[in-house]
Amino acid sequence: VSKDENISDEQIMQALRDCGEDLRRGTESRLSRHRRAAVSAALEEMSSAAEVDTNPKNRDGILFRSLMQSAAVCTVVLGGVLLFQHSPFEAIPQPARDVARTMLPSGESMSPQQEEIEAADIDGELTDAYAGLSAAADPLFAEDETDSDGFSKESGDDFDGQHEEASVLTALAPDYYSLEVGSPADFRQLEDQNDEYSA
Amino acid sequence: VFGDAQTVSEELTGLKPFGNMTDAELIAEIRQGRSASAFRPGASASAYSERSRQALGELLNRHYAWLARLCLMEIREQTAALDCLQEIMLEIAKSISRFDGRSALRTWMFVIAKRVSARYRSKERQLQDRFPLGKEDDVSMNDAGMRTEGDDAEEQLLLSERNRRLLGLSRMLPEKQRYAVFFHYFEDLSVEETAERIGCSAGTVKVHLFRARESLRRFFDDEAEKVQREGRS
Repeated sequence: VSKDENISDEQIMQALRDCGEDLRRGTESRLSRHRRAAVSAALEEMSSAAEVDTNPKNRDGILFRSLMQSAAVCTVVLGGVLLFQHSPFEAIPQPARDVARTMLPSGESMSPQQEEIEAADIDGELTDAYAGLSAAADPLFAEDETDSDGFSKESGDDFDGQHEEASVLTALAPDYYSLEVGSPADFRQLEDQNDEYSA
Repeated sequence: VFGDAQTVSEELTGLKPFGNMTDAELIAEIRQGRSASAFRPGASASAYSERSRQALGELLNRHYAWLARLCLMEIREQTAALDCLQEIMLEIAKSISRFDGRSALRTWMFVIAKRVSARYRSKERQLQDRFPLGKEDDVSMNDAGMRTEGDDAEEQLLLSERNRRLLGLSRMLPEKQRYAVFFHYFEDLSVEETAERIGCSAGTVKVHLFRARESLRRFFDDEAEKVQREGRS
């Protein structure tokens, strides 16, 4: 093609296609030996790569890695269980939460955080009161010896015990127990009445 | 009486011949062979079953030709081109079990081929820089990176003089134009298929092809001018 003649787009495209066809023919006919060698070498490489995996030392390594992974998973699960058991949400029992809710006027609600704080306070007070109640009740039950008539041998101590119990409860949780049980003054008055009755 | 030999073999063994399998089926076969025997207590020679090795052999044979042509277009010297091709096939064999099918298999292979051949091209360029006085056509290298002569891929493949020149010119195009020309003209793929293989839009492929043709036209014009000048003198 001379410089003066314009090479058309179609001519260039056709030349490239011819070149591609020539190249395809050449590779098919001239490279068959290399093809066989290349494919076998690749298969050998595949086998040797796999042999590395089946090497006992590497298998030990894989076993060790698996064990470490299992140990890590167990640690996470156990940690989760322990955290769940000691979670602040579970530390406060449901009754305290119910009490906290009932303290609100109807129609109002408190945020979860407020509910937690209130429930924790109530739970503390209830726990203390229960501990006091148990402490006061122990001597009562310890002296629970009755005579043949079914009455207590030392019937006068019952009032003392009740008085002691009520005092403890009143001292520990005055807001909750003073109304039901009465103040120490009421008890003194009750004791006087009891003395009069005994007399 | 017995029908097609492959069909009979399939009926007898219950196994589909590799020649009838798609690429995806061959890959599944390779994976299946690996999972069945890998890490088996007492596994000695290979963790791949014989069938999975055969499947890989079929896959590599199937894709050998176009990978070879790609290497021969990318790298001028045939020994280096075939070394590059060998390395590409090793890479494919090593990582085929990790192929996850997110792209087409040929696209995945092309990415590997592009990466490996870029390394060889860079080596070839360094060699040309080391021997700047030699004519470009005479510069070549062997495995040891030494300069040799008369080992051009075009010569070995018995290409016609015009096609040898055209292949040499195509090799000098920018990367994207080169790949567009290779897949569309040399491999006879459609513009859409070329776009999928290269990883760009069909419009972009058309632009690359147009620019490549313009560059080649300039080469031809210069060549024609040179021939005219020599004829006059």
